Amino acid sequence: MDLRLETSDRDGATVLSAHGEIDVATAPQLRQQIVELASESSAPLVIDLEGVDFLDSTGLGVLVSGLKRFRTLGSDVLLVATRPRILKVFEITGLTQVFSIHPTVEDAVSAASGPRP
Amino acid sequence: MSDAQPPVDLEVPARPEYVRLVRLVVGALAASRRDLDDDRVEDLRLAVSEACTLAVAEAPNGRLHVACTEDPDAFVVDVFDGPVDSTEDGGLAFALIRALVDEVDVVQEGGSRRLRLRVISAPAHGWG
Repeated sequence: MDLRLETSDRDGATVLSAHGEIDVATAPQLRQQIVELASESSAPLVIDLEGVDFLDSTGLGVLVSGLKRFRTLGSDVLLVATRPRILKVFEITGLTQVFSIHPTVEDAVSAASGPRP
Repeated sequence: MSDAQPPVDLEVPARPEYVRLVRLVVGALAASRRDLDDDRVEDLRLAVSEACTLAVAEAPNGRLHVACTEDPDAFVVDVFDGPVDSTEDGGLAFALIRALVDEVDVVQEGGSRRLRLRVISAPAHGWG
């Protein structure tokens, strides 16, 4: 299964929706997309993982480097995730403390437009 | 319950695009056991994927060799010539592997080195 990525603008945030599997083969595609988005705009980035069936540490690494990149720009990355399998990966690695994780895109976009921590 | 079965060996090019194939096959084999529920199978799939990703990074032009053995009380996956210990690069991967399977060992056997992942099975119909 390939990884499919779609971007859209929503209330001042960029929404990147991922569908498929994020692993060592597909993570470079996600990394490239995040790098491109960071170079185009400093709007906060909401990454929607609701369509993601599989996420491994390679994918986590890409998300963490994306977060650092956006924060360096004075912006932020927020995640949308409710699937237990996906949340489990963040919980085991302690990354629930690092990322702002929301149940819906609406919640994440709303949080992105509010004051940042 | 039957005795240990002969191992199922998988050998594929050590390239990122083959890691998915390995986790699909290992997942299907593990799912065929009635004593491993879906959640445990998914845990194993992710752990195997992590181990294979590290092995591919160590042997970019070689072969990726994985063996699955069905013990009566466990499903065992050996990833050959893979990582031996957590490194800076493998830190997250090892954190996941250790959390997702019951036992992780580095086995030196017959001149080869393997990372062995064991998932202990629950009895299918209780202990009685």
